[in-house]
Amino acid sequence: MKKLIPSFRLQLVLVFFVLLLISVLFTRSYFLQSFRKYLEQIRVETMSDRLNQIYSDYSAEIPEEEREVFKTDVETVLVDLKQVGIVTDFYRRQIITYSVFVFIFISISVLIIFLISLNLITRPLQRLQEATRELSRGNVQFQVRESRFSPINDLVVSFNRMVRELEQNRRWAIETEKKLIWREIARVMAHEIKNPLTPIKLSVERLEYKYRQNPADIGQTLEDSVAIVKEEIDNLQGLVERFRDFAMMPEAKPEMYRLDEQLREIANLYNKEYRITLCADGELPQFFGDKMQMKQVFLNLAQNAVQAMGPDGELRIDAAFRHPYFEMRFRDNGPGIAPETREKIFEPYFTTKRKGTGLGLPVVKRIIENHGGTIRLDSQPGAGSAFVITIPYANLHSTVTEG
Amino acid sequence: MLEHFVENLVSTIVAVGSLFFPFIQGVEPAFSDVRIEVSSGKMYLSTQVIHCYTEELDKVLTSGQEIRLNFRVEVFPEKSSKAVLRKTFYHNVKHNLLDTNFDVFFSEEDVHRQFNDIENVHAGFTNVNRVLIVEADNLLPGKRYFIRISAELDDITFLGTRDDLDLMLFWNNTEPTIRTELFDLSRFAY
Repeated sequence: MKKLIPSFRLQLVLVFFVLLLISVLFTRSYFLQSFRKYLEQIRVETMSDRLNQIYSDYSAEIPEEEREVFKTDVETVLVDLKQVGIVTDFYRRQIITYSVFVFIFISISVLIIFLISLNLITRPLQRLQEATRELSRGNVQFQVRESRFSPINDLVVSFNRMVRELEQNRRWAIETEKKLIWREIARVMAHEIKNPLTPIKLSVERLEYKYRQNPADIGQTLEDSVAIVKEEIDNLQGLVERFRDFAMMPEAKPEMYRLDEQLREIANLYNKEYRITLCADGELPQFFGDKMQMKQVFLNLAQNAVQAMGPDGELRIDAAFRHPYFEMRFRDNGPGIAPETREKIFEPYFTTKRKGTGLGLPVVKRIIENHGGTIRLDSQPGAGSAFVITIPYANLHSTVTEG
Repeated sequence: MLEHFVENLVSTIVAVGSLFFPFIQGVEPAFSDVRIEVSSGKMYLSTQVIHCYTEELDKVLTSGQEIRLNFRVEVFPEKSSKAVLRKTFYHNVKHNLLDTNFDVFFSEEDVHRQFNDIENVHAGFTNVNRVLIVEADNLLPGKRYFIRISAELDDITFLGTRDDLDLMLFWNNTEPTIRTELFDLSRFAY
């Protein structure tokens, strides 16, 4: 049913031909009407009848004094008849000449109107289409050029307003999210710090108790307590180092390299134990970025995927260049991720793993953002997960070198 | 309402179109055989418009409608565009449909002449024969002058038509014009 409806361009072409047809019909109608009016006025039959009547009535007997009048009358009618022939011929010529001219003139006018309409309607629509693509890629600063002559300018203005509000809301959401994240980090940090502090405090209290009871017999207790305190201090130190790693990303060292080769290396690492398919576009342009950081990203995503899908699962890695973006996709056929988990998956210290730090995906996200790109998760419970990375080619150099 | 609009629109387009696409195939008339005679201190001019007839124009000439051909003769001083002397005259032709002859009136002579066929009309209607142009008294000694002659057909109105028919369409809207050589008072000495 949908195919029966002609496309917008086809509709415009149809309108164009309909207008053309109407213009031709109008032209034809105009000349035919003029011709009809003329024929009504001259009444050829009436004049011929009149001439015959004059001849039959007066040819036999005509007085001398009226002969000149008679002659003039007949001659007048004859002149009229002559003129009918000439004017008819002129009308015929005009119809032939100006039908063509009017046809050409109206055709060109309609064509110009058609092209202007096409420009005023389809161009903004194309720009809107491009804008929606940009929006879906995360570019919420894209604005469609407005034209007050376009009949769909209101739509364009509304779209631009919507994008601006979207950008404002996004910033507000980011700020809010940041506050929440840091609150969560503070909570987790407090909890993590409190855990080792308890055994340290207990060890110190036990040591103090032993010293007061029997200072000579403190040796073993001192040894045990010091060991516990040292261990817990090591834990605290490890916690601080992980936090520092997350908070202070090493400086990026961008270089030109082949992204498909890097992805192949990652795939080969897991190929022995898991089914991994790599589909990289053979004509990928050279990638400019921090090779080590990007490797960390890909390893992390691959590691998460294989952990999620298990030994019988399959991971498919796609890499393509869709001008002006690189797009990498890590899709597994694991159990998928629940919506409530999806929302927090990039938050620091959020993890669903028993031994996870909750910093892997936040680090991945930060690296991608440092490269001027975005990462998103498409997942449904029971239908696997896909992490999609989009990095603009044009921004790579400036973003990475500045970052 | 719509019909009126369409009528106006199309008539405008036709009016514009007629400037570029005339529906009549015209010819480019010209003057030929310009002869200047001087006699008794007077200058006479004889000439003829040629290449000026078409089949369609002949139909108009034989329609019984009176057709007028206007002539304009102007005398200019050398290197001037302001005429010091201007003379106009005309020829009328009318086909008498009952007598099947043509009556041509020559205003410069104020005479009517009868022609029996269209070929003779062709020769006579556009012919200018010894028209007095200028007398020596009207010219300044030591100055040189030239004469410019042009011709134009008047519009006619046909029965039942709204607009006049511009007969100059048969001449591609071109007035035949010719300019004589320069002359001075010494020319009148002959």
